[in-house]
Amino acid sequence: MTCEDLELSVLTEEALNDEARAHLASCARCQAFQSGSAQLLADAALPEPTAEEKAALAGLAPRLLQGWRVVDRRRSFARRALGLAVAACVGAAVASAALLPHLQPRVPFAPAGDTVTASEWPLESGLASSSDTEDELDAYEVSWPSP
Amino acid sequence: MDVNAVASERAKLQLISARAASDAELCRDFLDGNTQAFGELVRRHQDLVHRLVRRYSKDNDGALELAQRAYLQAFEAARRALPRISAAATAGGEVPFRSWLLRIAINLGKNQLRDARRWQKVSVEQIDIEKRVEAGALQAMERAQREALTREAVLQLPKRQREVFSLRIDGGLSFADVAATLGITEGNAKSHFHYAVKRLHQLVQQRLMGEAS
Repeated sequence: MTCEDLELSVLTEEALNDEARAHLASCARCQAFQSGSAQLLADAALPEPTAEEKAALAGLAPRLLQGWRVVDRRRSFARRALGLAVAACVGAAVASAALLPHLQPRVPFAPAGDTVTASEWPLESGLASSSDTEDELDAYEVSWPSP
Repeated sequence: MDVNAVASERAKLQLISARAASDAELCRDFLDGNTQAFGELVRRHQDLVHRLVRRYSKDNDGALELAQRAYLQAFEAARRALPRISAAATAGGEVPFRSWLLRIAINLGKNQLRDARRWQKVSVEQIDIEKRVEAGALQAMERAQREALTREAVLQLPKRQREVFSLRIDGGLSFADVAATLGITEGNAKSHFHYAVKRLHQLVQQRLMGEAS
């Protein structure tokens, strides 16, 4: 049995065995610790709650319930607001996806003042007489079976 | 609420009161909307919570405020963990509502203490001493000073030692309960308490010597 062991037994209020009692009887340091720690713990302990404190404590449950309801109300309001915000975002996204093609500006096929005339068609231009076009025409004619 | 629902609620309450409902059952009933279960759950632990938070409060209003916040946070935690709680309860698991509540109370107290230090509030102990000095008893004053020094020193203990000390001395819990609340072994709880007392003794001696010089 060491002094440390005895200190632990004293503090944890374990029943002292014969060996511990013998050690305590012969060790001045442990005797001082026993009395000192008892005084220390008594000093550290808070006084018992007064009657006023107890009376105030009795009203804790109703106060708490009220507080809980406030918190609950705030939470449900926040949840509803969040739901509305999410719904609004989804609605905006769907609406913008549906309306986007209609909102895009239409590019005119031929801008006003720049009308294409018959003489400007590719077949009438130099392109129609290009060698590529002629080759294609030749191939087309040759491909028919002779009668 | 229709007649059947009222009858069912009444039967449930009778059943619960007949066999002293567990915290988990009361918690679940409250979150289902039963306010009587809420009241029972609060009353069951309010003395203990109040005793714990008193050490960290300036006055009784502050202690009640801390107790209220501790309960609200514990209920909020219970609401979030309710599916897990139900599973644990059906599997025979213990629901740690009280542990949550006590740990939250201690943590709130610790935060309160930190804020109080930050704002350099007047110590309640000092007010207490001044009141007693007015009474004029020298012996009472010396004792009050010693108590104030000791209680102030408690607040300077390392976190785990302070938690164990507070649950043991303020809450009056057994070492097994202290260990269960903090999620440590009983031997560990005893060891922390031992170190806490020794450290407290040192702190008080230092302060007494400092005052004397």
